[in-house]
Amino acid sequence: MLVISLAVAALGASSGKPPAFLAEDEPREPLMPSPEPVRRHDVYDLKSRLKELGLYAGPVDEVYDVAAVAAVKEFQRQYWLADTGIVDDGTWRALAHGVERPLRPVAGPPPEGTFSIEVDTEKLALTLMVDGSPWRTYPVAAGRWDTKTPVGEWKIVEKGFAEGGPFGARWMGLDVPWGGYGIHGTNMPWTIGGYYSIGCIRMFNEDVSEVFDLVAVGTLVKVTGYRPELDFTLALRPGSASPEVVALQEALRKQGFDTGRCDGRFGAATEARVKEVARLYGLSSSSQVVPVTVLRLLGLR
Amino acid sequence: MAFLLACALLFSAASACLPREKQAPKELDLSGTSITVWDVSQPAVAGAPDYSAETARVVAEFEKDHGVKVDLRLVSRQDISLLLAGKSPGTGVSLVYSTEWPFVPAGLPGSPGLADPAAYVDSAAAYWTKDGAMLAAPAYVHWVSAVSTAAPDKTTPATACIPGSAAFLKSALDYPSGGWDPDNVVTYLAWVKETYGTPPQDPLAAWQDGAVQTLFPVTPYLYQWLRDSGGRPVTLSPEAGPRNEPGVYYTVPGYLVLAGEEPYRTCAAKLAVVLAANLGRWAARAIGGLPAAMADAAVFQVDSRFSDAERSALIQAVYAGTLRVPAAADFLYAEAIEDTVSEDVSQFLSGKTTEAELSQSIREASQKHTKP
Repeated sequence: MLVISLAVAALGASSGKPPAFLAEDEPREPLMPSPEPVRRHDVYDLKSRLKELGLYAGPVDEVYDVAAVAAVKEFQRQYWLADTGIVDDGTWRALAHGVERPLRPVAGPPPEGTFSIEVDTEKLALTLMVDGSPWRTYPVAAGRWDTKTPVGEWKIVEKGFAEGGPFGARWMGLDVPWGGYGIHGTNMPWTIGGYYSIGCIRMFNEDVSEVFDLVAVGTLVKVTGYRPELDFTLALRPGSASPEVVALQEALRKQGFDTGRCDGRFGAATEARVKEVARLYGLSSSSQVVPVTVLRLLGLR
Repeated sequence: MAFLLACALLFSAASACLPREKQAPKELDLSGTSITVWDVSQPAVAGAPDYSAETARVVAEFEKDHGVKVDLRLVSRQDISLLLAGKSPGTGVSLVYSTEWPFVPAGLPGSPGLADPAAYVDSAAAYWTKDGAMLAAPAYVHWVSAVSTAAPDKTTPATACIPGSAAFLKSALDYPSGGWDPDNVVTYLAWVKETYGTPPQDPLAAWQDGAVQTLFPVTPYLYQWLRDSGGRPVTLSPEAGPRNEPGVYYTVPGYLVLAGEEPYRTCAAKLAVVLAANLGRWAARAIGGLPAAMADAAVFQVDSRFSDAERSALIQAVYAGTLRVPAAADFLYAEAIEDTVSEDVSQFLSGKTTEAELSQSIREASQKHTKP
């Protein structure tokens, strides 16, 4: 136990609940039928599974309506559960029954080197890199179309053992400045390989445990793939934190002016590079707000 | 005996008058020397070599040829400006790029024999020469000019100026006939307003939309972007200023040796010449800069993508140029004025303030930022 505790401490992990900012987005209370239809994020995942099982034919959305309650009750009957229509931990576990993580060869000992993670939300894959070379790839679920997983270069800032439920076995929080996002396990394994979350990266519990044991707090996580529609009419200035800032940092880097990590934070390095580009191209560089001419020069407008 | 002695004396005296075989000066042994160099990133330009990769290769060759170690760091131009203005420590930097807006830092240690003026275009060498000695190894001529394109529907052409540009005031006032006296600044701005009207909020959009035919001031970097981003042909079209200032303004970025002691100074001086030539060639290929080194004139002729007429106009303007690198005090004074009044200039050119208000603002700025 002492050895395990020391190992956990060395990898920067904490035991216990995921941070509050993650928990808010992943409800843990049972889903209750109600006279007025309830709107909850995980109803989308529930309806997807019920549809897969042939028990529900309606629209897949976030509304726990009469049709969805009926489908849940039928499912519960089929699985010898009390047909209350209440989706609790037992019902979620039953829904996951039969969903298996794809078999793969057992991983050998990991190579020596520095670990980093690359997530491609188009391919729905998380790759564990060692010294910049891919070592092992895992399937993931990513954010839905209206709640996309944030593209950028993040770092793992917290790690922990989850108590099951929506976070599965493990969680790793990322330093995305405009919201709570992380990599975690799940009690809805049927969602892996699809777009279901509100931005987090979900993995099979066995996979997230494997990754968790290998990476430390501070590990770089690079996310590429689908982005939300970016709006460059909004003023970008020192202190801004947004997907638009990530795109600005990437454009600056592509032009040859590296700001460091593309982390969506408009800090001193980003400000210096914006002014440098403006001055070099003979554009106005006095304003705090990134001039529209610079955005145009970088191909962002 | 006395006779023999006298002959011996006479012989040795005569020998002393005979010309001796000249001894070649001893080349300083640089092996084992380690220096730090601050250089900058250059933009990625389609069809041009990668500047960082070229520079790394050139430095590696220099290290091997001279048995030295070079710590090459790519820093921002702001970092360099602060270093040269004495506003940041930057200890241990032996050699530094001047940035595209050079000035002579106060107390720059001399580097005798830094560069041979005869190896450079006259005006580029003269730009960096003071009291008969070159203060930097010149890299290329960073020109500033107006640029035009064909009016899409042949209506009256419109010219747009970019008042926020670092070159906007410099290109008119950095001449003996100009100067940064408040009256000159106001006179120039009044001329710009009368001649070119209100500048567009987004000059690049106006250009791309065809609302303007001519833009100024345009640096080589912006010229390359205009040329590569739009579908219309782009040509240099120098326009004289109100006091007949030449239509082509320029600076000559170069590499300054900051090390004052040997062997670092000699090592830095040799590398300065190499890096300057490397940048000059890149500038010719990527942004149409005119290499300062005479040996690289052909690169400009062949690879700059200018027309014959444009190359001629640039070369003639530069070869006849009389500009000199400013001293730190003058440069920083001008920068301070520009920063302080930039908003007032925009307001004036947009017609929101009067000439009298502008004049007062500039005088106040001038009084606040007196030269040391």
